Amino acid sequence: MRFKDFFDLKLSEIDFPSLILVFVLTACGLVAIYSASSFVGSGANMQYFWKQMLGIAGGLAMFVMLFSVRKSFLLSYAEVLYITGIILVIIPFILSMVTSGTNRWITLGAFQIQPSEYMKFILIIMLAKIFSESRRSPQNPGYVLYPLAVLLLPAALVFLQPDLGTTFIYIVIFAAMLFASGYKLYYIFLIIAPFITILAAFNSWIFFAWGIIVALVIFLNNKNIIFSVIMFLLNILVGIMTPFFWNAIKPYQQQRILTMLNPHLDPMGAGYQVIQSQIAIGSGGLHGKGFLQGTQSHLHFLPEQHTDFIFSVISEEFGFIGVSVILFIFCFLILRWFRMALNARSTFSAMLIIGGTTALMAHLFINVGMTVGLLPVTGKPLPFISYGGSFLLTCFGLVGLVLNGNAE
Amino acid sequence: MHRESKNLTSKYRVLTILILSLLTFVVLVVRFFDLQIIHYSAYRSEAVGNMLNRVDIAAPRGLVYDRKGRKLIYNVPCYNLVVYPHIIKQNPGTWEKLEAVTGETAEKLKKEMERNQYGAYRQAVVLRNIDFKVNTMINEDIQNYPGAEVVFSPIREYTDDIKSGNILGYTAQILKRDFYRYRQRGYKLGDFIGFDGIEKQYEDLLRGERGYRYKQVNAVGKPLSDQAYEQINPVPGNALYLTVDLDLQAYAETLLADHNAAAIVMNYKNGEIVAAVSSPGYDPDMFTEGLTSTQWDSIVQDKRIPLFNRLIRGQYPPGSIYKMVAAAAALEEQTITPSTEFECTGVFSLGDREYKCAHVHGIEDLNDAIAHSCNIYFYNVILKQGIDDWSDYAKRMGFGSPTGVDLPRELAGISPDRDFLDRRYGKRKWWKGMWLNMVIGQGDVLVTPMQVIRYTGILATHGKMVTPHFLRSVHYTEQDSSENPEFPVHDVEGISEATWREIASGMKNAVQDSRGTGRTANVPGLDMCGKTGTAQNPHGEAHGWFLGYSRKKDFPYAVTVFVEHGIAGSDIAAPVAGQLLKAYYHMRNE
Repeated sequence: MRFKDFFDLKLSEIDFPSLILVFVLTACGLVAIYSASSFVGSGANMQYFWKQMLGIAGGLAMFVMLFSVRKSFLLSYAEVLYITGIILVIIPFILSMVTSGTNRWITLGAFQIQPSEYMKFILIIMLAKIFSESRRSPQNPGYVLYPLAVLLLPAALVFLQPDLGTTFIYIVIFAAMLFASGYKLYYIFLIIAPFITILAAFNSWIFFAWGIIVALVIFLNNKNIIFSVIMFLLNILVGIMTPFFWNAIKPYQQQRILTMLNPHLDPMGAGYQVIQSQIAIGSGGLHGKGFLQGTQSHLHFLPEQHTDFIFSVISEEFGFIGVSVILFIFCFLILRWFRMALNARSTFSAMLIIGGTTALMAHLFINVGMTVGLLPVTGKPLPFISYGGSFLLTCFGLVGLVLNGNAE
Repeated sequence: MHRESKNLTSKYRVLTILILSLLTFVVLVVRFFDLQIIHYSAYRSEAVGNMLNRVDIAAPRGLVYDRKGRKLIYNVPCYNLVVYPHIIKQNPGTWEKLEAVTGETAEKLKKEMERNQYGAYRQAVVLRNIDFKVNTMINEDIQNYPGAEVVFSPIREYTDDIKSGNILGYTAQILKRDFYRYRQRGYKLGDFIGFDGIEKQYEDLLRGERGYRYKQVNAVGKPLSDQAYEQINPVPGNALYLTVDLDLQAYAETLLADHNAAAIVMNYKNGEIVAAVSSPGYDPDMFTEGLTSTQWDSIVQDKRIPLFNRLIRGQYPPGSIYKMVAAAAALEEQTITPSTEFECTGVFSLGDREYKCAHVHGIEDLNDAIAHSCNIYFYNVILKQGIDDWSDYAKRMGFGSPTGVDLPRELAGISPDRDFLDRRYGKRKWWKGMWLNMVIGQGDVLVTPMQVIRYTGILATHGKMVTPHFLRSVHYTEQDSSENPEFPVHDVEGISEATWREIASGMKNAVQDSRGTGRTANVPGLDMCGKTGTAQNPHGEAHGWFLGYSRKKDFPYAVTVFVEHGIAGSDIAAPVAGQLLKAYYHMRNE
């Protein structure tokens, strides 16, 4: 086997508008990082800026790799990649038992790798292969079992790290790809229903109402009484188990969920970040306070301002106009990529595009939703803009997958 | 190429995902619009509030002068060491540096901080009145004391010439339990307010308006520069000029220093009090610096109760000084005429009881009865008249109601009438013997020295009731203008000039006649009238009273002296009264 069998640098097929817009976003990120790292009286700390430049270079390499890798290679070696990925995710667990370090990272000299990030590509590739090659009909309930197992193994491992945010990203990727594959809606409902049951279980009236909805949907769609009753009882069981599970999760995770509902409950604790972020955003107004003029960021009121709350910095200094421009760019990219998915020549390509696009979208929505106080503080960065080399590699890699799907 | 060559994904499903994605964008944009456009001003002010630390600048309280412009209450510069609890918590090293520079242990300073702390972001005083050297040492090196600061805070100083805490009052920090009453008026915990006396009465004129200094700070509260971002200067309180004459006040204090007593000298034409002493007095300065518990115990346990304001809260039986009430009532209601005579045999029998007189006065008319203070004359009068007219005239002369003097917490005394006796003893359970006691200012009658000086003024002016007061004029600092406050003046209704003259002639004889009971009060040249009173009390020696006034045209002053257990009014009270008027007459003419 030669290098050319694996990779094909099909330069002429790169969708340059996408790439250019991605670079515009990273440039916005550099501007925001510069601002977030300069403080009154001490000038700018250029360290973050240069490290981000390095990250962009690394991201570009990752993009080139995932863009030029041949789809035939991906189809042939998807399972190998998947198993390698799972092993890498497990390694930090084993290491943490020995070194009492965190169980998310593998440290190799000066570099740290976070296997759960690369697992995102692998999951997309693996699921794309499964959905494009399945011999079962999407109308068959068993269609979902194999891809569901492929999802649950890494999702469970990441959940145990514990990394709720990444777990959620995996689920979103899976859900979008499953949905696009044409799997019967009723079965999708059966898969989703238990999760809604969990949420409903916190209020007995809502739980009761939801129970009726579940019963109606199940009995209207299924002629097999035994199957229906089992499905219904499973949902009820999940609801009853929820309080036990709630007590089993870490208090800081409980706290995050609770302060999401009302950040003002705990203004100096977990809610502090969200309140300060909202003040930064709100005080930006229509056109913002101007570059380097944000008081919330430059006086250190804003937490994690290079990474998780970078969008609050942009909102404060460039206002609603700046926010709208960036959201518009993201929106444009997503429209463009979904169009690519519709026009893709094969299911596998379409699935790569849908998976990659959904992953980026999910990151965007989780991060921005957090900064505006609509979603819990999960500590997920903003694609292309937040500081952080490892995450830039992920984002550029996802773009590589998407544009690779579009190529040929 | 590879095995699949067709795109089998559902177009509708992909479009559904796309629409859902676009909807999330809409949600985000709406949320940003809500935060940045609709609620912009609220968040903007929160951001400004974040970056600016507001430090209060205390307003200097207004100064208080006597009638000649001599300082009674003033402010002296004082530097307090304060800490910001939220900053010093992150810089615990500051405590050690403060310990080194002040010589106080860090534990003590921390305890003070906890005691004076009113919130994590507000400065808490840890050491008051630090000396100049410590002040400079900290200030020159302030960067190395994160969380600490020296603030200028004027403190109240009271003239040492008099110990008139009962008039001037004092200032102290608002008590935490009272704070709810002050919050709405713009006070903050830790503020000093007037307690008692002029300081409390004229709090609103004296307090001034707090100023603010805004400093730009970062998230841990560290100021970004020494310079104020913005400063609003405080407005100092207004200056008060009192009616009191410092010299006379000081003289009155020395005259009465050995007694538990009260004395007031008042201009009966306008109600200005030129001296008012509640003896023993106390020095308000001791409250300003904060009392130690031993100081507090010693002042509270002092048997002579210096904190008790005898002028307005001491309620005593008036004794014979009350007889003019009966005289006025009897003359006006024609129960007697000036020439009506009664015989005094030294003892008066009513029912199975005997009521005594100090002497055997023989046959006396009203003039003699006032001059010699004959009890039996007035026993006859009250039995003839009944108590209803008498109690009515007592009320007209202001007994039973506060004078309205400009001091807080004045008491009203008791002016008994039929209703009062019914309430107190039950209907028909009281007897005429009680009237005999009351008509000579004993029994249930209680008056304050302030009521008596007002009464003296009524007698002196023949029916004009002034409001005794201490405030002569206010100088408004902001407008740089002065105002003389008006105090109410009433006419005592229904008493004729003839009646007043008759009473005055008796009072003149009481002082100026060689047999008069108040002759020791006489000051030649002032044409004085007066009346002594000796009030029996079950707790020991009788209380001595004297009231009197000068009839000299250009010297319209009335005097009242009360001495607890001062035996007869003629023994201590009358001579002191004479000395006071005499002294003031000379002071005025110097």
